[in-house]
Amino acid sequence: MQQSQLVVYRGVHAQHPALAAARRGIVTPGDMDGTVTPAEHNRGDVSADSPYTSWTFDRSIAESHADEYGPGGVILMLTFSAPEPGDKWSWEGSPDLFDEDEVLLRGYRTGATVEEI
Amino acid sequence: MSLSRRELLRRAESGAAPGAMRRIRALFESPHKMSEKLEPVRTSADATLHLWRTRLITSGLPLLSLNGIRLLVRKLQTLPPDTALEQYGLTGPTFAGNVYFHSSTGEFLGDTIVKHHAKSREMLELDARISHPSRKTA
Repeated sequence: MQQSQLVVYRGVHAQHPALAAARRGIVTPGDMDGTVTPAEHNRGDVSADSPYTSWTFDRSIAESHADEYGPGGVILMLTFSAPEPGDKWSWEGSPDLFDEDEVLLRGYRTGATVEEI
Repeated sequence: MSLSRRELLRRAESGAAPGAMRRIRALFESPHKMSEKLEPVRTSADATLHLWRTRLITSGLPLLSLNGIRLLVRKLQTLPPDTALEQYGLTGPTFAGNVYFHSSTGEFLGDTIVKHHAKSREMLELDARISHPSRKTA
């Protein structure tokens, strides 16, 4: 990952249902066809039904979420770049109600850089 | 069980502290919508506790505006982890957040209601990049 590129981070905690996929650099939302909106996702407690995953520009925030259940979580990293034609994912803005520098990823992605914490 | 805003307010009144009631009333600031039905999200005390305990750390909001979350976390710490909860969420023009009840007893457990804040200039610029993406950078 080049240093000059803007990077976004996601913390996946040790009890997360998508942890095994995350360890392989795969990003999977709770429900690809879910109808949860960005505002509902950001308010919290609806991840299982959401087509979004939460990302942040602040690595320390991702670290805290990865550490939510103690050791065993991972940090995922992606460059903040636009999708190529045909890609099935997109970035979407978050209301960021809790001021966590949040951005939302809609859809499924592979190729995230993985870091154990 | 779906609830109208009026019913939710009534349920909260039986156990919520004055500060929590002020936040909930502020969230329901459109009186003409009081009969609108809200659908609950089912969750567990354990999952909710972990999420909000972390958000107490990660939120950049002033500590005072996180009072509801702090009290919710304190309450959830006293419950068995598998306790079933009902969460009702709402985004209003000025405030947004969730209100939590014990699924079995209907007891009010807490809220995560906060006031919308202005995003930083950096975040607004990043949001603009999402709206007008280039191939190089979103």
